[in-house]
Amino acid sequence: MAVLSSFEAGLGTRGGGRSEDALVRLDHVSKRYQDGQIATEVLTDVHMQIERGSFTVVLGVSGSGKTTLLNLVAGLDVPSSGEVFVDGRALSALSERARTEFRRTAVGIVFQYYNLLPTLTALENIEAALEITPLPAGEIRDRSWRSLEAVGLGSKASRFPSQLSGGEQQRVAIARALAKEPALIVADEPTGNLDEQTGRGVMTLLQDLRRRHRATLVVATHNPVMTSFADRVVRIEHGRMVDVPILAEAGR
Amino acid sequence: MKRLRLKMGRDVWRMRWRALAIVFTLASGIAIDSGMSSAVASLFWTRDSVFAELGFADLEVRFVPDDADNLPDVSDVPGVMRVERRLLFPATVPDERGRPMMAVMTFLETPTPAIDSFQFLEGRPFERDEEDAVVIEQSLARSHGYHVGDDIVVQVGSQAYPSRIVGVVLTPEYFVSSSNPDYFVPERGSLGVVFGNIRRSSEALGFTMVNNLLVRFDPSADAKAVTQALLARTHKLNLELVIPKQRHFSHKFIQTDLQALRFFVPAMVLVLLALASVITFLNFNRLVAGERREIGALRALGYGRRSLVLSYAETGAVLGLVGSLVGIAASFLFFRDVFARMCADAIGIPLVRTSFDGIAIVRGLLFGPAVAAVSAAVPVALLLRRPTREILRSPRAEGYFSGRTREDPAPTGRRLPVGYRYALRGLLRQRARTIATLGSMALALGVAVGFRMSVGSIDETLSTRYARDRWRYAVDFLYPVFPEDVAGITRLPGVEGVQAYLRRYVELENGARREGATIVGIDLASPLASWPLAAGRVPSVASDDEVALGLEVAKRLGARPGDTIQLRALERARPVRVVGLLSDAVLDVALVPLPMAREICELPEKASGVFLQAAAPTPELAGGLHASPVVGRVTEKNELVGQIRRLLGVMFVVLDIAAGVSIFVAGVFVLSSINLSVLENEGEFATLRAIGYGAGPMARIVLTEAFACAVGAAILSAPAAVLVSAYLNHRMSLAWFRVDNFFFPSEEARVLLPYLALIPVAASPGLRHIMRLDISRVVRARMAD
Repeated sequence: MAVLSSFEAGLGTRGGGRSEDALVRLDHVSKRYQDGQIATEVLTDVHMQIERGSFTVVLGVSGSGKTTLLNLVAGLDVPSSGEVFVDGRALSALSERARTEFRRTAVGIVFQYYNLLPTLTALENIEAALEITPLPAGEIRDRSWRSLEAVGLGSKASRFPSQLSGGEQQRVAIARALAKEPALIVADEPTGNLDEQTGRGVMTLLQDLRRRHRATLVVATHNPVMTSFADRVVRIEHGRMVDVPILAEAGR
Repeated sequence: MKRLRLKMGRDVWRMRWRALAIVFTLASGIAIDSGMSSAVASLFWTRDSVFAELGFADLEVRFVPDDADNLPDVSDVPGVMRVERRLLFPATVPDERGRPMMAVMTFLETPTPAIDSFQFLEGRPFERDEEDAVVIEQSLARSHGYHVGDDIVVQVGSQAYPSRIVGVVLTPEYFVSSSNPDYFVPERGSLGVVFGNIRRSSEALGFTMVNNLLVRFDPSADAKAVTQALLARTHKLNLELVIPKQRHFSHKFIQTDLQALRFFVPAMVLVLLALASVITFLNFNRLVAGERREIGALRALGYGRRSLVLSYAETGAVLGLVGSLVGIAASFLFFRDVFARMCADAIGIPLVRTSFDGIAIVRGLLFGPAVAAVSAAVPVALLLRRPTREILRSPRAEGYFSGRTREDPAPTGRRLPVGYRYALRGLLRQRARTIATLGSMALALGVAVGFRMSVGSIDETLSTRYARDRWRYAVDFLYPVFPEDVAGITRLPGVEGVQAYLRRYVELENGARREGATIVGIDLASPLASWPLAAGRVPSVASDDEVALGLEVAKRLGARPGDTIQLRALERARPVRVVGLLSDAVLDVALVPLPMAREICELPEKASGVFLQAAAPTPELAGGLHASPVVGRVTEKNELVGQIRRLLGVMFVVLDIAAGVSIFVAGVFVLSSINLSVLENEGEFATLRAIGYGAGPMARIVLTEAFACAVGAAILSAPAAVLVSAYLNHRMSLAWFRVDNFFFPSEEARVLLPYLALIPVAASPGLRHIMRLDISRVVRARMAD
């Protein structure tokens, strides 16, 4: 793992060239929230790209803007200025419908609190993500099973979320994200609700699955220990990308 | 408490749509109660004020016609303020089709009487020297198209009075659209009233003949004492009828109809207010469930149970007060006037003067805050019985009455697509709440359908009732006639059987109570007509002292089978024994054998009408009947239900209004339930949006849950409808006539289909909310919660 400096991380950023292998590119992106008279700038002039097939960790404390950055990349939100490109497509130029379509097919999202539907079983939670795709029913079922088995929970397919541990729930959430075989997987604090050992297990799983499915993985975390799993680390502070001292072998 | 109040105020603002649902639900029940009560008060006020302004006679005395000079002077009787004399004759006038209809010709000594005076709707009074000018009572204009300037021929016996109409008037004596109580069905507008100049009769006779006195008392006089004194003074007159104001048809008819309203409105309002209470309670329960951690935090900070419960109660009371004020405002701005107008039209009252029912208003002002305060306080109070640490840690979705979140080990809907499975399990997840929601919706719908079914039961009862009778036509004559006078009718082609009857107005007395009724004398062995009994039996064919009374009049008299009452006709009283109570649609009947009726009315051998049996109605038969000079009205059995229905019009108005309001409340409840469900599952919906669910799939989920709930409620509403209908029919049977229970699936469909069709409309605010969610914020916030 190499934790890159802000310059290296910003390859293709401030005046830099654009890598053709970049799946995700943020072009001077800022995000502001307006709440009545109060305007809060959460991200300021973020300029970066994420290589295809890479495992990138976005490191930052709570409130730093890392979740906002992930939301922009996942198409859950649009920037106030600048542009986010995923696979060459400008997300803010897309209609709401098109962004929904994007999330449906091109990106898998893993949430901090798993966000499983409590009245659906583990298997059904995965099927729910595939049911809105054009896949036939049989394929939906097969893929869902494969995804569940890939995360080691094939025997717990008929369990409801409340019958699973936190780690198991997160693994189901990962399976749900992977089932549609997206090019991009975004995980916001996937270990934030788990103890360290379980969290390591989840990160190992993510790393392994990412390699097998050749997906591009972006993980936001506040825990520096989790950076050891990544190919690249991007640090964010007060909404800005900052210079990061290179932490060789950090967290291994 | 100040900060707590501030918090509560902001909470209400945050849940403003929910608060509005509570307000509207409470307001609708209160609006109906206050509106209906005030409408009834308005109609009573209208009657009383018009009667006062137009000098309604305190006493009317009818006697055999005599020379006015022979009449004793009663103007100096203590307590008498004014006396006027009139000459009244039964007559006929042509109706709008030229057929003779029953009328009353009233000759006046003054063109502008001060007692039972006139409010001119059109034209002017006749002049003292205008002998052929007449004014007509307004129902001749309304029902038969007469106007100022028209000619009208008033036939009094063999004497014709061609006249010219110079005025159309409203008079308290015929304030309710005049109807002929001697007819089989006293339909409104079936009696024409004409007022003319007494000089027309005087000049022909050579003297002024009168047979009617109208008297007004001093306001402070003892009416009974004055009446006694008057009767003592007039003892030499051959009295036929003495009618105090309270027993006058015009006064009593409104009283009876409006009492009927008072009979049904409380039942209807009770159901609506119960619904409002349940909905209010459910909404507050959900609010408390959503705020349980805040409540726990406040407890942890040191707030006492009492102050927390009071703060919620206070908030509820404020919402309830707003609901009360909105309801009362709606009742004044809309409901009262609409109800009053509809009821006035149904009863036949020509105008409405508005008033209000203070008690109903106070009731409304108290009900809203009381219900809402209790609904808000109870869930909080119950929640606070738990230890604070438990409240702080309890899961979001769990309200005290919401039941546990259920995960069914045998998942529901396995065969359905996952989206539908999720929607249906959403209902099962909190069964107690789902049951409460379904129950409330079912009740609202069931009430609406039940009211409609009751209307249908009345219709069907009437149809079935007369289906048993063999007569085809009921023919009322213009005046009582001998059989030979109607031989032509009985020999008409197609007539297979004839049964004469005699119907006259009489009075019945039981102790201090005195009520008007219609004596019906008929051969009780005749198979042409039947008499449904509520108790006892019909009089024996040969009896001369037995009577069967209509249920309504028996109730007013306080008479039961076995009692002996006085039957008064022509101011002579006759003791009669009540042997049975009739449960018939034509009210206020005193059924006796025909010979007994003839004897009482001093009309030997005469009949006021006949039942005719005929195989089928034919144009020849109908034409022959109408061509007869003695026939006043022909009632075909097929038309009977419609006529009686018109007579019961006010009841149907009430029932239809009740059904409409119930549907409205059901609609508000559906709207609030669906959208509350969306709010509570916001986090899950945001997750679905995040993983790519668009408008179509989201709509399928929301509508599946909504329709499943609606269909469940629709199914449950059927037994509720049956119960409500049976209850109303039972009440009607006790008070008026027996109503059999009939259950109409078509009425269910008429209410339920539009209700189901409105579900997508009700769901659209929730769907819009889902599609506008700030997904990233909600996903994090709600799921963490």
